[in-house]
Amino acid sequence: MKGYAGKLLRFDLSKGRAQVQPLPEELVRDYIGGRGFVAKLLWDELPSGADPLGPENLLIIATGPLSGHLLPASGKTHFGAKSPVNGGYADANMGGHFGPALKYAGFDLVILTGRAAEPSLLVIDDGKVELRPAGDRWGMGALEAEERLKDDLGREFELLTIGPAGERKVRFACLSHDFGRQAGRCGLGAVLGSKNLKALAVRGTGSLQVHDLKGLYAKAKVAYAKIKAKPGFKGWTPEGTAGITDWVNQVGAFPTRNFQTSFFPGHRAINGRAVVERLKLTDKGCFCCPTPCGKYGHTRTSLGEAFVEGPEYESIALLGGNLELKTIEEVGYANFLCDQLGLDTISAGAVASFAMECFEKGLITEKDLGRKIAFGSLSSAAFLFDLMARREGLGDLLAEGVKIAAERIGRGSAGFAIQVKGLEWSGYECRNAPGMMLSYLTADVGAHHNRSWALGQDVAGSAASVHDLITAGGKGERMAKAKVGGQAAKVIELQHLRPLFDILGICRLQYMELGFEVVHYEDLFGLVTGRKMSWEELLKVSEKVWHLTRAFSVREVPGFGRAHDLPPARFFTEPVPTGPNQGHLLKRAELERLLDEYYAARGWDENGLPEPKTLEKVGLEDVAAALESA
Amino acid sequence: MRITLHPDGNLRAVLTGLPPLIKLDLPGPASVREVLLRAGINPLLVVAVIRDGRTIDKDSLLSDGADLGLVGPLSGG
Repeated sequence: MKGYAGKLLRFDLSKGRAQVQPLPEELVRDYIGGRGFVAKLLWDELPSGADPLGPENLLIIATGPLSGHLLPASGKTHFGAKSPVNGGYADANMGGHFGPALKYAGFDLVILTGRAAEPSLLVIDDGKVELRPAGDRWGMGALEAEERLKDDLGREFELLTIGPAGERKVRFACLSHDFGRQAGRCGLGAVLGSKNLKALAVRGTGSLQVHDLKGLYAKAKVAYAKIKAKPGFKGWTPEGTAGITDWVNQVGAFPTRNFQTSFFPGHRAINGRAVVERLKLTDKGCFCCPTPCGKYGHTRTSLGEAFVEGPEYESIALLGGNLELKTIEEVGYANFLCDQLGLDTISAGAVASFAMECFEKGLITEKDLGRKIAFGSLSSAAFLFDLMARREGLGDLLAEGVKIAAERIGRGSAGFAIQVKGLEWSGYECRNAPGMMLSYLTADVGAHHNRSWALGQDVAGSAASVHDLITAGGKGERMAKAKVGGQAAKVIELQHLRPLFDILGICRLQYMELGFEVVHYEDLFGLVTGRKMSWEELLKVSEKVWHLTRAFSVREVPGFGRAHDLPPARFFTEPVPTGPNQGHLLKRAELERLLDEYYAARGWDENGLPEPKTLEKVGLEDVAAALESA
Repeated sequence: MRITLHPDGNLRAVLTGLPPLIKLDLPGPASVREVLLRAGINPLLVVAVIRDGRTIDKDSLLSDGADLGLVGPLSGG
């Protein structure tokens, strides 16, 4: 089993017992790694109906075959569990060094079950696994806990920590690593907290076998050179993902004021250039990465100062425009607070903006909160983050996420609770972007951008033609109303392509941002594992996993179907009020048409449930049978 | 003057048929924006323009021999 460490670690936290098994060959053969492992193991091993925050939930940590090898950006680690957000499928991914260390310690996979009797730390030191008390670290911020634990254990240990939000099972608590890298989405920090686990520490000193070491070195060297020769390399890397902030505003897709509009007039004060000029101290990259997109810096505000990694684009969107914070220093500080508290910046920004709009509309009051809150106020954001992370007062309700909070607040607030399947919407406003909208509606975990990102195609479809621009003297800032229909095929293609990187255990940004050709990944996979699989064959595995994650949600979420694939009413009842997409929206009927087209192309029924023949066609006969008998 | 453009994979993904290398001969000074239009590319679809390893503004004036990398639409992290 070349390329893999070859072992699976199961740890029952209730019993404090480790069990080491060989990595199942059929799991490797059929699901390859990472997200594939997570989806298959959740389907097979999670007791149906398990409480996501109960001891029976699994927290799975999975590397891929390319993780930890000396090739570009191979530092990815995948995590999965039954979702504390919606009870369906959940996963999240992070960069850094944790996955490589895990493989060097001898494990491709870790499956955590049960619940520790006291706040604990799980230490994996090469082959030795030990559960230790961590009561003295409970209550610490995620960044602080990482620092203290490195002091305790040794700087060479790689840490995964949670903050107070994870300890209190906030449904958008994240997993934190390397002082600023997070597996942010889906509340997996709450799952770790529910298991009474403050942290995992890994030290690995072993090595990995590959099929063709000489060939791999040669190919990896070529890959690095090709990436560095890409047109975007020197332009993209200095600002990282923050570099797209201006463009997303120019095309009218920037979340602003709880997604009330899609253009933030102050975007130049919080863009990538502002990060570099006002915050950045150094670039920060993940394991073996040639394009370090992390920007480690320092921020100083009226509330305090801090060292912080980022903010990257999504944090700028949700903490910047969406809260209307006016300076990059303020956005950076809000980012730091979320990191320390262990909150996903995307969801925390969305929940805070939802609360601010509720306050403006009188749905929550000064009496409820003990103070006023407002858009544009860093102190309001900081107050809300702390309140929700500690579940104090109204924070206990906000800690459930915008969907549940809106259900309890009522009075029309669900219409501006910006989420799908309970997961708060990330950084792209879509009222004139049908492909991106469909991507959000159908992403398996909820409103997340990293399964399919179709905004480029949407803009190409709505932007003025070159002929019109020339005849208008170069003007053409306004976007035309998008044509709805024909987006499903592209979205499906992307939903297989982007998650494939999470299966392989490698970063997608070199492909997505720089255009590094996919054929190289096919070659690297063969050199590492000795398996000959074409990119198309690898995509077939990703397609199977997509159907499997849907089936998992069908099995676990009562009544799961089409209703779970719809956005909040704001997006189909309120035209965009300002910016390049002013006046546009997607009507409810257009959204339904998009879903019809998508379900048909997927081989799902009109309620969005996979047809048995579709599951059988991709090799999920057992899944089809299980759903039919349920 | 002669201008060379290198559209990246993201730009070519949204403008199907765009070649990876474009050479243009123009009669006189032109801005990046004008050059893009001459190449049939809506400037809105270009997220960043790279010259000599640095991003430049689309209103920048170009001189003979300019060699530009064009970065198409790309997502956040």
